[in-house]
Amino acid sequence: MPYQLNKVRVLVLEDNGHMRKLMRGMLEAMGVREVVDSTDGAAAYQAIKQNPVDFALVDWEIYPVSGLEFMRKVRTASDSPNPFLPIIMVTGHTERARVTQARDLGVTEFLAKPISAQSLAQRIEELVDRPRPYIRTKDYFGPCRRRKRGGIFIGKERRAQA
Amino acid sequence: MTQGAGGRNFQVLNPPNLLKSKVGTGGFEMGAVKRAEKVVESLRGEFEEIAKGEVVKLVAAATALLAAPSDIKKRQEVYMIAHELRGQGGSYGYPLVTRFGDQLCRYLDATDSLDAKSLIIVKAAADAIAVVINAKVAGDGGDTGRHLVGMLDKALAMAKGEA
Repeated sequence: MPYQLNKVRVLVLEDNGHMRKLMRGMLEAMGVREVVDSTDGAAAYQAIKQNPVDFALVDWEIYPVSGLEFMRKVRTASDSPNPFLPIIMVTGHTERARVTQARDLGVTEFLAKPISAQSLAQRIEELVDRPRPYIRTKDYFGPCRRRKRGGIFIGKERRAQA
Repeated sequence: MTQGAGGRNFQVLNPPNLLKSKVGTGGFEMGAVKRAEKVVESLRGEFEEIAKGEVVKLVAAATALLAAPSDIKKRQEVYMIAHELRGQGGSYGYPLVTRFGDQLCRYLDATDSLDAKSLIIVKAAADAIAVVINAKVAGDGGDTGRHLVGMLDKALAMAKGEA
């Protein structure tokens, strides 16, 4: 039986009106029951406290409270409604340093702009079918930052340094 | 808590997969992605209209920067417009908008102070994006696309001292 997305509520945090419309439209076309959208990280945080969501699409560069700050709060604030919330960071910033920064704050998946229906669907499938365990160290809480492809670990050894 | 290779402690948590328990396991139904693609297509005209307005602002900001290279606000304006356009062009069949926007953003990221040579690149990139949007140069753009790509790549290579 295919995914029953009519049972989920999704947050779209994006300050560009057209991008927000695009993401909302695609999610609804895929069958998502309810899309909650927001243009600011602080308002989005309050929104998910009042109405919990099942996953979030979050843009990086939003003012005054950025997508990164929103994510940090979700993962670590004492009043967070769900520190395990799956978060897809949607961004045009694909430089390595930026990706590392977001990963260190607990992003679940990256979706590089420009987005497509196919790329969005693939990231949702990752959240549903291939969730990563969460790691808690002295200075990190979030999805495991190790990426395995074909059983071979790719990337920098982090856990021993934490 | 578990001890890692470096002697530091870490804890591995496997929270219940609440998302999966709601949506099930069967993947997307055949029509779901196609319906979403139709949404993208239906918004293409709206993007083209918005982008036309944005390239006017982009070229104006790039021109203003020529006169005041140290104007941080103008530089940020150029960057933000190019950043938004690079993030959207490819979604609507304009990969050259994404390519030129990306080249412009990366160039600004890597350049501390703008001199006469670098301003030419900023203006050339802004103009190239404007041509793609105004002339609706979709896909690879054929000869026009190749000409624009070659022009900007050459200018960037010259700035790096490679040409």
